[in-house]
Amino acid sequence: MTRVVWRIVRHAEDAEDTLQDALSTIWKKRGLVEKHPNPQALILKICIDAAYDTLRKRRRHKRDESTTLHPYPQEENNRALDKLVQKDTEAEILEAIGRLPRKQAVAVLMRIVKEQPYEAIAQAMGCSETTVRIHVARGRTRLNQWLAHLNPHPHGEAAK
Amino acid sequence: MTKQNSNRYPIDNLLRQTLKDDLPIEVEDRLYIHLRRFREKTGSAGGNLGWGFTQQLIKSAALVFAVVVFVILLATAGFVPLTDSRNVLAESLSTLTTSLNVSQQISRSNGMDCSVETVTGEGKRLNYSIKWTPHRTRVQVIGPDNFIVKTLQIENDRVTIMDHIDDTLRHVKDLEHLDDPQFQPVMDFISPAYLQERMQMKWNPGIYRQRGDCDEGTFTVLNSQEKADMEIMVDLCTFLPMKMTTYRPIPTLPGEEGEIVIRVQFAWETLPTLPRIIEQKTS
Repeated sequence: MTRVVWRIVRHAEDAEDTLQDALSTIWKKRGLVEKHPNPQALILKICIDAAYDTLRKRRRHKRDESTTLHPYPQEENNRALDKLVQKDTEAEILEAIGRLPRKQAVAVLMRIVKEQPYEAIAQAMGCSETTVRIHVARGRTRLNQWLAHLNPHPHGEAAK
Repeated sequence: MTKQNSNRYPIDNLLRQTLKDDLPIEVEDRLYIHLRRFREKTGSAGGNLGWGFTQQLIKSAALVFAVVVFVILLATAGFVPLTDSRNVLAESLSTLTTSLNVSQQISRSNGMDCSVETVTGEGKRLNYSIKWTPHRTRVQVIGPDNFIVKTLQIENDRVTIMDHIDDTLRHVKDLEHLDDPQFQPVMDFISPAYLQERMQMKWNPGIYRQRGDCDEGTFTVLNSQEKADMEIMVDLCTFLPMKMTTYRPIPTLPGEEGEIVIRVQFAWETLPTLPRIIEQKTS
């Protein structure tokens, strides 16, 4: 739980808030978890849902803030510069995931980041495997479009 | 996801590389504080999950802990490839009861020696000798030539570090201010309280296996790549840990064992005599 929250949120305080939200949801839905055919996948989905909500909140706050997020210091060495660029890339990817519709974001994160089988994702999301595949393919295509400038080989995004 | 698929969908690689599993230890500790608070809150709410087996645990002082650890185990069991939720419940219960017993026995221990062998990323080995007594902990760093390099002593909340090479002695305010990197790999083992807390809150076992009729059981803590991050071998007569092995996770090579990072061998001096609150169940 802690690791999946961190992988998506990547911010200490946000990760704490997200984990609390996820634990609260698990507690509220404990009856559903007990009866669910794949409780592990359901708990994973609850965590990813909570992390997605955090990304969405972050997007809303970001809109209200100044756009000068990462001013580069004048005396910057290459390593630190790389780190800043990496941070910018990370923020851009997280922002893109937050722009996806919820179901696409959850399906993409469960499939690509957590490498869950389609069957488990379908059980957690309460839909068919075909629907999950469509969510993943659409989410992947959108991310490819939005993040093409970050990708060294932006071809072959079409999912089969 | 195969390598071919990764090549077909380069965005996948970008996502995995960027959203990598690199949870910093200090953040992990903070998150586990929330897990602990969750346990306390759900316990004070007197929550009844409605599971039949919890009836057997009612009136047990460990009920509150059991309920919450069970929920956490369900979450961590997400790495176990089981489709039948009943199997998960049974395995989680078995894991839970054994881990509870281990945790209780550790808290009742009166003394212990343990040897720790660490291997760095460059293959450099370093050994530690740790001795617990009720009022004193002594940690010795043993160099490649079997000479003691440093000694950390904790006595009556007084933390002292002796450097045997420079022949210097210095005092540290408390363990939180211990900044010597040579002692960091063994901080989990420096006291029963530390070890017990790690067993309860940090090393959530994904798999528990009992070896046939043998008096040994093994907890396996899995990482997000479904690989063994750690194995804890437990003596099922005393419910005390015997050996602990931590592996370095290798995310890119499926099916390949990780490199050993830390090996710990425990030798308990005094065995507790109090009865266990929860009897072990085998599934």
